[in-house]
Amino acid sequence: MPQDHFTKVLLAAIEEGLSSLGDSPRDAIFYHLEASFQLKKEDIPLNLTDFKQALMRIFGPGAPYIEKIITKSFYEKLGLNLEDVQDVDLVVYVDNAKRRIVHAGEVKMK
Amino acid sequence: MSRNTRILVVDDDENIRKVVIAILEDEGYTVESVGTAKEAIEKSKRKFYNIALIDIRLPDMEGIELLTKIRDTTPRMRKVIVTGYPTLQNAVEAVNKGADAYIVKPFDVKKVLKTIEDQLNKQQAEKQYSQDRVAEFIQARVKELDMEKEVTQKGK
Repeated sequence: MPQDHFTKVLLAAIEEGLSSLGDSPRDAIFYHLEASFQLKKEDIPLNLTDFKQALMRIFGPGAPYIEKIITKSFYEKLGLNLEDVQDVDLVVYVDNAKRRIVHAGEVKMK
Repeated sequence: MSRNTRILVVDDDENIRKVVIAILEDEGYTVESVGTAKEAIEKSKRKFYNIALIDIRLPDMEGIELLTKIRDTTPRMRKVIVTGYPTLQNAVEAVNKGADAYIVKPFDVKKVLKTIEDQLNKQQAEKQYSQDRVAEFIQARVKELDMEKEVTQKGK
């Protein structure tokens, strides 16, 4: 799977995950990520650690919940299985997905 | 709104379920039905329904008791009690247990559809209200973070 396609799928999962809060909260997050954290929407997939930290600063203990929704959506879009775990670190799981795709070629796009 | 609106009909009378499903599907709603309170609890745990139409008399539990059971697990689902025996007492009890509205049997189709429409409008307004609060929270929190950053930079 080409890198830019992987990035597009990840961005779509991020959009979908943030949309679970509603359209206006999603738009507000993207706006503030760019205005206050200098993180443009299209650059998020390549700066996931910054994105994760920004979520943590905005939402505090609520951030992992959003991370989990995004991760679930991402794995679903890639057709990968995601075991039901309590805590999901977005950065680790995206990295894990990348490795699985590269090494096993097990992706079935949905 | 109809196409994406899911309604759960909880009634042990199969004929009533068939009629209600036909009426609601005709309006474009997605409808599922169950005959017992237990099934209603299971289904509403697994999937989000915008509205549940709950018969006041179910074989395994009173409809009002079901309201109590699902109140905490489905806070956003609107609950409408369906009864053939409307009394002030069970109206008050249903509202106290978390019912959002009341429908009386035999059905007046226009009234049923109006009740559903009203409930969906209320649900939409609540959803918008809570989304606006989240957006406001985000704005306020980011402002706080910006101010913290400013103070730190001035202090350097």
